[in-house]
Amino acid sequence: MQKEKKFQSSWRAVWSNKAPSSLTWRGVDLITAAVISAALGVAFWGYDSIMYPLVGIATAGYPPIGELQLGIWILPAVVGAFLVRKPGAAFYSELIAASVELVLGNSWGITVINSAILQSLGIELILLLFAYRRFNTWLLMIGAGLTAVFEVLYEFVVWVPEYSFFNKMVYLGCGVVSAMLISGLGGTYLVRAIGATGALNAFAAGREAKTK
Amino acid sequence: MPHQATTPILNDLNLKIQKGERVLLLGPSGAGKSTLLLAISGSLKSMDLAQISGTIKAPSSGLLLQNSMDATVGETVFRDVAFGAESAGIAPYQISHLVAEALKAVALPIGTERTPESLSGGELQRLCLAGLLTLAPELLLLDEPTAMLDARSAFEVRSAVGQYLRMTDSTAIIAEHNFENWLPLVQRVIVLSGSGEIIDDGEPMRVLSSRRLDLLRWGLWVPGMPAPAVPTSYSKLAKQNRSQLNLERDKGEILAIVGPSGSGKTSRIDAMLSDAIAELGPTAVGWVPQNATLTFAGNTVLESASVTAYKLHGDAGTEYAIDLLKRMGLEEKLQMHPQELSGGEQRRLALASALAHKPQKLFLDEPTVGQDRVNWLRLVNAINDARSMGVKIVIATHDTHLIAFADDIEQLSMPTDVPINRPIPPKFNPTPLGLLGASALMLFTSFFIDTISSAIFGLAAVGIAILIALIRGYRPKGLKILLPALLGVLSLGLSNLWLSQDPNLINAVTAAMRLAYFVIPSLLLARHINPSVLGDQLGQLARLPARPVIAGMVALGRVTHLQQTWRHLELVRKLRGLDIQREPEVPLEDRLDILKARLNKVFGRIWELTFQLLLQSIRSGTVTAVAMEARGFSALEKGTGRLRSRTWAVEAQLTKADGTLVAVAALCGLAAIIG
Repeated sequence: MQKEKKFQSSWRAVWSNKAPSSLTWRGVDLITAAVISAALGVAFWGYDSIMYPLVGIATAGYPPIGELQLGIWILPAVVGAFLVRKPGAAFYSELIAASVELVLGNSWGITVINSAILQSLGIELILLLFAYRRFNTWLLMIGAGLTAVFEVLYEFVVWVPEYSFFNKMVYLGCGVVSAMLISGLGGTYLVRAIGATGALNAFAAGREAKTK
Repeated sequence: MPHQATTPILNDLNLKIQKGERVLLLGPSGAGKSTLLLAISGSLKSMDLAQISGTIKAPSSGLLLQNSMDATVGETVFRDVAFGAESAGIAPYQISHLVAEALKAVALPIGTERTPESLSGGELQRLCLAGLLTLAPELLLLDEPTAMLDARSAFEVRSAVGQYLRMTDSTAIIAEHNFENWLPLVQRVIVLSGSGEIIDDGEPMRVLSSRRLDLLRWGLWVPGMPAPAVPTSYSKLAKQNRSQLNLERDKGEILAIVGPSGSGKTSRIDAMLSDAIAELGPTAVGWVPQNATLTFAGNTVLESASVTAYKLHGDAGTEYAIDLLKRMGLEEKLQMHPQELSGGEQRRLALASALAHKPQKLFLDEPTVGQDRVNWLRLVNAINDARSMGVKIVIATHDTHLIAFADDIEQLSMPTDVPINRPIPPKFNPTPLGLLGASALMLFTSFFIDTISSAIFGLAAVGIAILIALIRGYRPKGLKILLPALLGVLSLGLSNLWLSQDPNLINAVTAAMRLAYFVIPSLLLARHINPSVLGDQLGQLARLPARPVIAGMVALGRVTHLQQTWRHLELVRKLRGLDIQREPEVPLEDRLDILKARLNKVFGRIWELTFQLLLQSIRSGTVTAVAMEARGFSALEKGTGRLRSRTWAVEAQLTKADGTLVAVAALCGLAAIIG
C-alpha cells in the first residue's frame, strides 16, 4: 500500500505536472529561456563539424530521409515550453535560437525566422488546449508532432515543390517521427537531466527532476 | 529553505542593522552568507530560488556578486552602467549624466563604448559597482566582491566602495573570506555558524579575538596568521638546484606565470597548452581552466575524476583517482553530482580529475582562487606531490603564497596600448531593422520567381548589387558561413529534379536559383546585425514589450562567449580522452556492429556537449538574472503593482543606408518580376 502510493506520487510527478499558478513571466523565466535558446543555437552551429559527414551520406542516398533531422531544430521550442511553462515560451525560445542561427550562418537564410514561428505553433496550440496548466512528455511529443506538420507543409511549398506525392509523404513521416522523438522525448529528457543537477531549482521543472 | 530540503540554510535569524552601519559577515563555507544577501536584496523571492518564511524589510539595495563577467548586462560600458537607470524609468538625457558620475565615483576613466569583455577583472567589478551606484542605493550588499581579484585590483574595488560609503550615509553588508583589508571600513562583525545561525555579533576587535579559533577552524584567512605550512623540503631543494633541474627533463617543476590582471595570463596558458598537446598528445596533458566546471564529465564526482584514468590505466586508475579525491577532502561526496559542489570543491575536483591519469604536463589557471586556508593547503599539497612525481606544472596565478613555491617565474606586463574595441563606424552604416527589412523584402519578392527567366534576372540583379558593393569597398569576412547555404542550394536543385513525378531540369534549376536569390543576401546582411541596436529598435520603433526584448538581446550578446565555451568543451573531451572507447573483448567484425559503435560515439558526443553547454549557459544565466533583478529588471511600480515601464538610454534610429539597402532589394525584386 505504502509502496503503491509512493509509486503513484512519483508517477504523477513525472506525467501530469501542474503548472505554477501564475501565467505571467518572471524575469528569470525570460532570461533563462533566452540564454538556453541561444546556447542551443550555438550547439546547432557546433553540430556542423560532428554531424555533417553522417547526414551527408544519409541524405545523398535518399534526401527525404534528411528530414529526420527536423526534431533538432524544434528542440528549443520544447525545452523552452517544458522549462518555463508560460504562454509563448516555445515561440520565444524558438525565435531566439533562430536569430542565433541567422547570425552564425545556416542553409536557409532569413527563412529560419518563418520556420521558428511554425516550429513553435503546434506546441503552443496543444498547450493552449490545456490552458497552459499541464506540461508532460506526452503533451510535448504531440505538440512537437503537430508543429512538424506545420513546418513540413510549409516546406512542401517553399523547398520541395517538385517532389512526388509519395516522396512528400515519406518526407512528412520522417519529420513528424523526428519531432516527436528528438524534440518531444529528447527535449523533456534534456530538461530533466539538467534539473537533476540542481541547476534549475528556480523552475517547477527543475524541482520535479530533483524530487525524482 | 532550499526546495525539497529538510534542513534550512538560514535558521531562526533575527537581524537588525541600523541605517549607515557597515557590517562584515563571516562564517564557514556553506553557512548561508550568500543566501542571506540574496534574501535581503529580494532576489531569493523574485527568482523563487528557495522556500522562504519570515519577513525582510530593507531599503533599496545594490547587490555586487563575485562573478562579474556573468553579471554584466550590457554590450558596452555605457549600456551596462545605464541598465539600472533605464529600469527605474529615468529620462534618457539624465542617464548619460548619471553614467558619467557613476564611472567617476568608481574611478574608472574608460571609453564608454568599450565592451565589458575587454576589461580586466578589477575594472569589471568596478563597472558592476558603477551600475549599482546610478540608483544611489541606501544599502550595498557585497558578496565576495574581491575573491577573484589580484591584490591591486582588490584594493581598487575596496577604495571605490569606501569612497561611496564616505560620500553617502549608506548601509553596507560585506561577505568575504579574505577579510583583513575590509576591517578598516566596518564597525560591526556578524558571525554565522555552519548551520546558519548567528553566533556572534558586535564590535570587530572583540568578535575577532573571541572567535579567533572558530574562524581558524573554518579555514578563514584570519589576519596576522602566516600562510599554512606546506611540507617544503622538496621545494627548497628544488630552488637550490634550479639550474640542474632545468636540464633534467624527467624532474617535475613549477612555472608560475604572474602579472597584473588583464596582462594576458590566460592567453599565455592557452598558447602553452596547445603547444603541449601538439608535442605530447592530448591525454598526456592536464588542464584546469578558470571555469573549473568545464572539465566535468559524467554524473558523479567519482566518475568525473576517474573517467580518464580508467580509460588509460583501468581499475588502478580509478583507485588512484579515489585516493586523490580523499586527499582533496571530497571523500564524502563521491556520489554527488559535480554541479552540486561548492565553488571551492569544484576547483579541487577539477584538479583531482586533471591529475588522476598522471599527465606529463599540467596547466592550472588561478587554481587557488576563493579557497579557504584548509583547502588551499590541500590544493597546494596536491600540486607539490605532482611536482615530486615528475609533472611539469604551469600555473597562472596572482596568489603570492602559491608563487613562493614556484621553481621559475614568468612575469607578464600590461600591454602598453589597450586596443580600442570598436572600429569607427563605417560610412555605410545600416541598422539591424534595415538589414532585416531588406532580407525580408528579398524573401517576399522571391515568390515572383517562377520561370527560369525571372530567376536569371533576379539573380543577375543580386550579383550586380554585390559587385557594386565590392567596388565601393565592401569586404565580406568569413565567407565560410555561405558554405552550408551553397550546399543547400545544390542539394535542393538535385533532389527536386530527382524525386519529382516527372523530372524537369528547368524547374529544378529555377527552384535552386530562387533559393540562392534570397538566402545568400540574407546571410551576408545578417552578419552585421548588432543585438543591442536591434533591441533598441524593437523596443522603441517596433514597440515590442521591453523585457523579453532585453532578455533576448542579452542572450544574443552571449553568443560569442557560448561558442568559446563549446570549443573549450570539445578541448576538454580531447584532453580527457572522453571519445576514446575501450577496446571491446572481441574485435567487432559485423559491419552493423561497427556502424552501431560509430553512431553511439557520434550521438554520445552530441548529447554530452549539448548537455554541458546548456548547463553552462544556465549557470551563467542564473547569475545574469540575479544581476538584472538587482538592477530593477522586474521592479514593480509603487501603488499600482504593475511592472515599471523602462526608458531606453540609447535612442533608436534608422539611417540613410537602411533606405539604400531596401531600395536595392526592391530593385532586385523588380528585376525578377520583369523577368
